[in-house]
Formats: sequence, structure tokens, C-alpha cells
Amino acid sequence: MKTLSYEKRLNQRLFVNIVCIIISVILLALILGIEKFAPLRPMYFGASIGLFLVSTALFFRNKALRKDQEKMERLKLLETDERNVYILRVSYTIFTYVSIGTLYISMLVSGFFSTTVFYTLETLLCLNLLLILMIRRLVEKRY
Amino acid sequence: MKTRIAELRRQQKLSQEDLAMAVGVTRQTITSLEVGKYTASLVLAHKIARFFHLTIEEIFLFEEEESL
Repeated sequence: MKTLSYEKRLNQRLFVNIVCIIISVILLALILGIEKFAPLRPMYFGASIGLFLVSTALFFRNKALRKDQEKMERLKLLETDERNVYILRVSYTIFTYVSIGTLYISMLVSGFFSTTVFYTLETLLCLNLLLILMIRRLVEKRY
Repeated sequence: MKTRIAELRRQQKLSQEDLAMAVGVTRQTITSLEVGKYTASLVLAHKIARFFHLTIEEIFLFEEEESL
């Protein structure tokens, strides 16, 4: 199994943080700058500000971690500890089952009120199941 | 899975934290291994065995009926 060093992983996270900051700024500029998008402002403003704040906070945290060797080692131990990794995997698996189940129940309930919501959730559910199958195939090839 | 980690650790007057640091895991992992709540991976089992200068079989007591 190919594993990344923790420093490389931190660099990757920093890169993702920067990409998210750029996306949030572009989104903000589009929403605030183009009058055509004015009705969407309340929704997208909150979402892009949220993305911007979280990405910026994580960016500075990850950058500070690179400088503080002791803190980095402590976090590395917590993240790479095999029991913690196992707990995380089990949690993700349970989360997947619960979210698929919730989506399915939501789809059934929504059908009584709106066909649009029903078909949207149905598409989302099918897409999720398809994604799970595709990811499984990819992971199978890796191991 | 039953282990002799706690017994060996006490024999060598080591704390859970000492052992955890030596094998690169958290103290909570050592606690879980000692009480049998968590089964170590082959890599961790190997590190622990090497730390105590014993074989894996001498520390980890595998029972046939145990599920993997």
C-alpha cells in the first residue's frame, strides 16, 4: 500500500485550502458583481462566506503546524494511530448507510408533497449508489 | 483478543504512555489492546513483539473461534 508522508499530506491540504479560498472568492465576486444573480445572493453569499472562513482558518492552522514540529508530531500520531483510523473508517461506513437510508426515507416522504423534490432526491440517491459502486471498483483495483 | 501486554508492561515497569510512544500509537490504543476491545494490526503486533523481544504468538493469544 502506498502511503504519503505526513508533511506531503499537509502540503496537499494547504493546496486544497488555497483552491477552496479561490473558489469562494470567485463565487462571492460572481454573486455580488453580476446583477443577474441578485435573487441568489442570500443563499450563495452565506455558502461562499462559510467556505472562505473555514478554508482560511484551516490554511493558517496547517501553515502553523508545518512550523511547529512538536504540534505536528502530536497531530500526526492522532491521525495515523491505527485505532483512530479504524474508528474513522467504521464511522464513515455507518454514516454512508445512515445517509443513504435518510435520503431514501426523505424521497418517499417528499413524494406526498412535491414531485420535483421526489425526482431530485431519487436522482441524488441513484447518483450516490452509483458513486459508491464506482469508488469501490477503484479502491479494489488499488489493493 | 487476549494479550499479555499489560503483564509484560508491568514487569518492565512501563506506563501505557511509554509503550504507546515506543510503538507509535496513542495511549488509548494500548488501553484498548490490553482490555481486548481492539485487535492490533500485523504491523503493530510486530512492533510490540519487537519491543518486548518476544514473538507475536507469545504476546497475542489467538483463539480459534475469534472472528477476524
